[in-house]
Amino acid sequence: MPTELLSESGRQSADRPQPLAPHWVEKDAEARRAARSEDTNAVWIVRNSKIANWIVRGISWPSRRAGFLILLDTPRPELLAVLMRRFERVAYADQIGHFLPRAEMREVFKAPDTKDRFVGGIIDDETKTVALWRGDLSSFVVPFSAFEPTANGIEPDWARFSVTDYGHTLKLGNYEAASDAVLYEYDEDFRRRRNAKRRAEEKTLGASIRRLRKQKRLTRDDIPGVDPKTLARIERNEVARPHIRTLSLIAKRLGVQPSKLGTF
Amino acid sequence: MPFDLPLPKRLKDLWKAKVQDKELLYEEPHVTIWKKAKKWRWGLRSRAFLDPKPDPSEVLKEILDLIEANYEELCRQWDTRFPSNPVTEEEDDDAN
Repeated sequence: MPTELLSESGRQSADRPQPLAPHWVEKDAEARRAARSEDTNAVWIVRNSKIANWIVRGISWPSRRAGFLILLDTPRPELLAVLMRRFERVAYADQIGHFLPRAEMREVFKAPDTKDRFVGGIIDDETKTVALWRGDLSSFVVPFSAFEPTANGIEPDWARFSVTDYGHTLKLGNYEAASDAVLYEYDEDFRRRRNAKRRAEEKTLGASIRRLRKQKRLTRDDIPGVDPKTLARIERNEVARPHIRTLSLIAKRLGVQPSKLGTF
Repeated sequence: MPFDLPLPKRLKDLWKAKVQDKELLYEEPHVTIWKKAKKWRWGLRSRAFLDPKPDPSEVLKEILDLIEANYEELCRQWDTRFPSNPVTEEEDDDAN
């Protein structure tokens, strides 16, 4: 089970001026570059401890802490201690399959919601926990109980863990969990952001129309001249500027002036 | 096991549409549509996209037609996984 390896020096994706830049380290020259780099956005991705050793040998001590490192296998404790001193955050797993494939990892680091996706993780059967690495390489730990079997009997298989769908899905054998469902339950900050977004959406014209329609006990089929699907899109704010004729029809059926539609 | 909507071979490399085994349950039942790194949620009650972003118009009409064609099965798949938040629970149909 990994301990908390990451300094919490406040690197948040929302504040991050530039996305993290992944570099796969496969040769000695790249290892030397990783050892000396002061690029705070660089993520050095290393296949095994042998290559990580090359990096450590190239470090000139005392070294400033900069950048991030992903080790795609389990490091020796001694190596880990050194890597943690050199890099802002260090993520690792026990199998390459426990991290996203290269192309998907690259996309996650570029994504605006990188912090809300996972790039990898590690299962600890002894403590019944899953330690996950988010797209900003902070760690996130959830108990096995986060992955409850479905009502139709699908159970997680802890021996077959992977991250997939560009960090949006946690796969445990045949069982798949949406990352945001896990984050919502176990990350208060995520929950707060998600609910703030929802509240903001609730202040929109679409939400106001929906509340008024509900208040009038009408379904979307009850607005003559307006296709129910169009009304659904308006209520969900998917229509940037609904046509005035459409709004007039909605307002008429709901018994208000068109100009008052957004006030409910 | 998630329910993967069967897609024609030429769409399979880029697109997926599925009902997963663990989902946000305070929100409307939905099918998740994926195109590489992008994902959309399509509501099974409202039969509309749940989020304005990414732009729903990026989703191929062919995918949406397939979802509509398999609508009953998608609802059944959702309901068997999440009986506490069934698709047919009308009054909260669009509670988001």
